[in-house]
Amino acid sequence: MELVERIEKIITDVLKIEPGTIKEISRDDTLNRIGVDSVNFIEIVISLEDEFNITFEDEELLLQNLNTINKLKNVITQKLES
Amino acid sequence: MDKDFNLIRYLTEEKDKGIIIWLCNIGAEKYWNRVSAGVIDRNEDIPVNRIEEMNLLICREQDIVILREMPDAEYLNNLKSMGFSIPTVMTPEETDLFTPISELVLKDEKLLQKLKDIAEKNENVYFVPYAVTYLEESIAEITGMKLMGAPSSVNARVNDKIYNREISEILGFNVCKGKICHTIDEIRQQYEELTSSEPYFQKVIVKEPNGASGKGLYIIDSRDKLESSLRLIARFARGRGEAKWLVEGWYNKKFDINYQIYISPKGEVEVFSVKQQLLRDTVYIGSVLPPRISGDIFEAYKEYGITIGKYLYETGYTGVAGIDSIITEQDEIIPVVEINGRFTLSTYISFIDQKLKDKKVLSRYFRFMPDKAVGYGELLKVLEQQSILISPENKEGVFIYTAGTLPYKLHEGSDYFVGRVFALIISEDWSKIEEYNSKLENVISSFS
Repeated sequence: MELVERIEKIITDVLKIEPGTIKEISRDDTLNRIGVDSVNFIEIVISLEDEFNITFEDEELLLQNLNTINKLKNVITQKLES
Repeated sequence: MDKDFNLIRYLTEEKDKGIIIWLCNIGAEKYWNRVSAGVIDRNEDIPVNRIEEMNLLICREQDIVILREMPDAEYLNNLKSMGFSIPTVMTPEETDLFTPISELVLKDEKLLQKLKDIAEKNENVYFVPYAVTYLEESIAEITGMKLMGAPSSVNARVNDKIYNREISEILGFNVCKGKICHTIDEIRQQYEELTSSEPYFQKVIVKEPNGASGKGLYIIDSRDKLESSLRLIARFARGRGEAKWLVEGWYNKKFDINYQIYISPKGEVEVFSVKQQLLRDTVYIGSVLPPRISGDIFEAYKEYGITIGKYLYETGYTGVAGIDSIITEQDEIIPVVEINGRFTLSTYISFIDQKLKDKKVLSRYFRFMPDKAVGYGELLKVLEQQSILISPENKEGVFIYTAGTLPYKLHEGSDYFVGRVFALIISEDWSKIEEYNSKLENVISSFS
C-alpha cells in the first residue's frame, strides 16, 4: 500500500467512517471537513507512530501543521528519511 | 504583601477603595508544570485567549484591566447598560491572538512604564491576575505593583491533584475511591480493582496531576477501551519525567458543585460563591446560581471551604481558589475532587448577583462553529428576533457576556469559524430559564 493510502486508512479507521469519504476531499483540504478535531487527532497520531514506527515530539503536535493529507505525507516522509 | 487588602470586600462593600490592575492570564498552568497538551489547535486557542473579557464583570470603575485587544464597543455599551462598571482598558502595543498575555505585557516597555507610574503615583495599587506564575511575579517586580496572590511555587503545589487528595485525607474528608499509580500496569490493576469490587464502578478516571481544562484526564468507560486508553496515557507520559496518575472510580452524581473561597493576606477565609456546575463528561459547560441544593448542604460547603482555606493559608497560600466537589447519587458529599489555586471561569460570574438582585441564573457555555462569521451585534440581533435578548430594565432574558470569544472573523490560516458563546440566562423563574435556554440552543444551532 502506498504511503498516502496507509495514512488515509488510519484516519478512516480512527474516525470510523466509510473509506470512500476521505476521497471526497482533496489532499490539501483540511481534515476537519471529515470530522478530525484536536481530540480524535491524538488517536490518529498514535496510530501513525505505530504504523510507521516514527515519533512525533510534543512540540510538533500543532493541528495546523498536520491537518491535511499532504502535510501528513510530507512530515512522515521527512521522518522516514531522517 | 498588603495585609489590609481583601479582594471580596473590595468587590462588595469597599468598592471605591484602591485600584486593582486585573489580568486574565488564562492558560497559566503550563508555567507551573509540564503538562501534556495533546494536539494543539491554534484556532481553538484564539477564543480561549479572549475569555479574558470576562474579567470586565468584576472590575470597578477606577480599576484597570489589561486585555490583548480593545473589546467591541457595542459589547462595552451593553455591559454598561446592565450596570457593570467599565474600567480603564489597557492593551499591549504589539499584540497577537496567540501569545500568552503576560508575555505580551513583559515585552511592552511602554505599558510596563505606564503601570509603574500608576503604582508610584497611587498608594493602593494591587495587581490581581487570574493565576500567579513567574511571569506575573516579573511584571509586579518591574512595575512595583503589589501582587496579590501566593508565590508561583506555592500555586504550582496547590494545583496538583495528588496533593489535593492528600489535603482531603489530612482534613478527614470523604475522598473518591482510588489511588496513586506510578506505572501503566498499576493503572490496569487499579482499573480491575475498581470495576470488579464494590461498588463496581462502570467507569474509571485517570488524572495526570497537573492537567487543566479537561486535558490530562482520561475516562475509561468500558473494558473494551481499557487498552487503547492505556496506550494514550502511556503516549502522553513520554517525556514527563516521574510519571504519576490519580486513578479513581467515576461516581454517578446528583450534583457537581463548585465553591469559591478567598484567603486574604491576613488569613481571613471567605466562601464567596457556591454553584451547581453543568459538565459534559469532564468539561465545564455552565453553572446554576443559586444551586438547587438544600440549605444544610449549602452551609456544609461553607464549612468545608473555611476548613480548606485555613489549611491552605498555613501552607502559604492566599488568593482565590475554586474547589470542585460532587454529591453522589447516594447523597454522599466528596468535598474535594480538585482545587484550582487560581481564578476559574466561574469566579468571574460570582458577583453578578449585585447587579441582578436575587434573580436566578443559568450560565451557559457553547463551542460555536457557525457557517459564517458571527460577531456580537449579529448574535444579539438574532436573540432579539427570538424575543430572548435581555432587557437592561427588567434584567430578564439572555445576556451574552463576552464578545471577543465569538467567531467574528476568519483568522489567518483557518478555513472554518470557531468560537465560544458565554451566556447568562436570567429570570425570577426556573421554568422561564428553561424556556430561554432551549430557544438559545436553537439559535446557536441555527447558525450551522
